[in-house]
Amino acid sequence: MSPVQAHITNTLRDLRAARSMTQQDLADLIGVTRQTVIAIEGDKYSPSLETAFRIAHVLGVPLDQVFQYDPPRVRRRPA
Amino acid sequence: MSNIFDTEKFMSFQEKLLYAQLTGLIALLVFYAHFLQHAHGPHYLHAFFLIAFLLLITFRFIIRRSAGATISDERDAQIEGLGARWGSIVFNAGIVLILVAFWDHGALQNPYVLTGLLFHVLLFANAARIVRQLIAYRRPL
Repeated sequence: MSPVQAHITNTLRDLRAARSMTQQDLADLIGVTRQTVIAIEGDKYSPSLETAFRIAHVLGVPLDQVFQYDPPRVRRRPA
Repeated sequence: MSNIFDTEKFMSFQEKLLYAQLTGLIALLVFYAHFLQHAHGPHYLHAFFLIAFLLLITFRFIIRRSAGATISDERDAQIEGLGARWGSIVFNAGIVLILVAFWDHGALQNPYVLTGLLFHVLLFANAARIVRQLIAYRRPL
């Protein structure tokens, strides 16, 4: 197990709101349930690569504008 | 009707279904425990419930497959897999415990005891599956 867990955040909620799109609308377009969209927006679930690309495609933005990866900081032992 | 800023305030359909299953299991367990306390003579009802329970699981699987009601959402599928893994761990552990217990006693003296133990292992395995799924729906995956 890694010392610090990697974290993926997203701006899905803002991007969706900017397009006046409901969670159900987005869920229907990307082929998941509304609960999954809620979980993604709440950073409780990281979608599969295919779903992530589908979200970016539906919103018409590059993938890295929707999802941001915060790499894990590995603790180094003092020499 | 959902709006733009909806959050998950209430239970999803999957969670309601899981709670219904858990309630059914608990009801079955309570009934079974009550029966064990008051039963006299051969425990035909043990076998009946065990078979009914196994048939229910089998039919559930067959009906879901034939109706095409398979899980299409990736998160639901992941959570179902997680629950199935926990159920499998509890089931296997239970079977091993039964085998060790009968090994220790040397022989199977009362088949009704074995039926009862298998029934409980199945119940606990299913309860573990449902509880793990319910937790997964509320915690980050």
